[in-house]
Amino acid sequence: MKPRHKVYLNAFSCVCAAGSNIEEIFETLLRGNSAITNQSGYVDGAIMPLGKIPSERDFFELLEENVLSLLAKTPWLVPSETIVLVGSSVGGMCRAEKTFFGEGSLKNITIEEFSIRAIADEVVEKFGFKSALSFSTACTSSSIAIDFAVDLISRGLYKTVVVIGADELSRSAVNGFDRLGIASRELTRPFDVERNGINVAEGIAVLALSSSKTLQCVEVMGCGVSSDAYNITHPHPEGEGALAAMNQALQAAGLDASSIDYINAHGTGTIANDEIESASIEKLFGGHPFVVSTKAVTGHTLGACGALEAAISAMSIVHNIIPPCTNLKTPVNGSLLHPLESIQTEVNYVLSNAFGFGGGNVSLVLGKVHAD
Amino acid sequence: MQINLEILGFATVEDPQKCTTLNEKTVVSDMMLRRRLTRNARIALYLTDQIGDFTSPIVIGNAYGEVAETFDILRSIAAHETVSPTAFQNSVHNTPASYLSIVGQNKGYITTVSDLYKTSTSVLKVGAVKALKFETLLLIVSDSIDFERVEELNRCGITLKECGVALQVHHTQKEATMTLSGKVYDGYSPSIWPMLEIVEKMRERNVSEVIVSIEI
Repeated sequence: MKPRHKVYLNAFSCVCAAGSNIEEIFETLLRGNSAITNQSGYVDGAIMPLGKIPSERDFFELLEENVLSLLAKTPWLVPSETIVLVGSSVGGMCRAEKTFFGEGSLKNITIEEFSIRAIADEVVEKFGFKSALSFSTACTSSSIAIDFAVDLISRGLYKTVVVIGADELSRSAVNGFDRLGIASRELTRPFDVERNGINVAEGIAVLALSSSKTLQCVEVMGCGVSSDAYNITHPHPEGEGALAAMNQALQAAGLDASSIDYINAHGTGTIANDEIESASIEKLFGGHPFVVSTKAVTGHTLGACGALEAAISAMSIVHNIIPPCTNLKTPVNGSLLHPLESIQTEVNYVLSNAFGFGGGNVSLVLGKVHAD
Repeated sequence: MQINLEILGFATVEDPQKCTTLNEKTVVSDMMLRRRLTRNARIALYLTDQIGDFTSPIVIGNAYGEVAETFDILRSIAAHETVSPTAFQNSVHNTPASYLSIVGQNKGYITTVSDLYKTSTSVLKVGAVKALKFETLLLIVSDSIDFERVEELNRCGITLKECGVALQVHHTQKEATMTLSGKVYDGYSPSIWPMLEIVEKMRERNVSEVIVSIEI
């Protein structure tokens, strides 16, 4: 059974610190305004700059709202014939935190409520999707869900797939990144020589993918997945895994590196990621494509970032605008083309990277869909 | 849509409390790396070594994640202690996948699914679809719930606190010799039941080949 169908990213509904819908998020990105805010209550005795969604509503209510919003945009999507693929590193963990920190016990919470599966269960039951499946591969979780969606659609196993990238700000994650020394106490500065870490964030991105073209869709042309086989937290120093994922994605898309107009980089703002990712990009693409990390504005939404940034990349293709590399003053790699202001230019092909803990790498190539 | 998988090999391990014969010293020669392994990673490495395939693409599942590390972090935060960086880096669900990649120098497709009681079903589904692309795959489900507060959470009668199953599979056009019936295995985590059902079929006498049909 060979891949025979093209795969389109038809619609999306997103929320993160930078906005309550994709239009707001994209506007914030184009203006180059960081949405990171100082938050107490996550790390003892510290104010942490975090990407917190400015809403009083429960994360799972926001999740439902975004699925509902996606379904309103896709009247052709039949939930009972659609599989949901979730990518999350946290799942319902924050519920466990609230119970445990409040009561000192886990007796009043069920494992169903705080597992990774909690997200899938919430939407399958509520909206009547056919089934669901959850990936949890740290920061590549929702990118690897997109890769699987491409398999399902291109091989004719499903006509429509909903991908959900969702991660809530948890005290466990913020403390963990802080203790690893990679959570910045300032605004994150991806690709800058003075960068000093990530701003942990939360986000939800709900995507509809299908084998049919719709208005303002983009094509998911290729995916690449690789493993570093090097270290749990540190990327391969020569960028072997990153290069393999990007090369695979280009090959699957049938494109050469010179075709890519814009790279939505993983660009976390850590010393290691940005140095290695920028060297890998230079090696494969030279200095021609624009290279941007949107995480200076949104923060690092962990398992949600792959889906969120696929939606942002699609907005760049549809509107022919590339957002700036916010907070960048002196690039770590002077050979790369980092726009400091938003650029209006023809955007036909975007490569979007997600690299994660444990050395997992996923690259996606998205392309413009021209009218028939 | 059905995809048929032929089972080429299998391995299992289980213990009511904690598996003690995981051959870590043989499987992981680097002492520093070995000391950092999580329980799920130890089980996954043992199963992979038993099958003898460290190079195929891998779909690995766990229902509950790295619970010992996760609750160590929760306990530290509640006690206003600093969180252990090692506990944090080992707390992500794909920790076993990462150690499998490092130990086996496997640079290919490795993914982790986590669907609570449906974890085996999801591993089999992802494995079946990926088997259309890759020659052979290793499918692993491991679950370790051996941590101090487990009884606050264990409300479904799991008596085997550690359990793991691995299957080496490839896609086949041949007719299926079995379909999954949803058989219940008392004492085992429900997350592992469908994989156990396949293993049980493999162990039957006079069975020359097991081809399982997976509904996608």
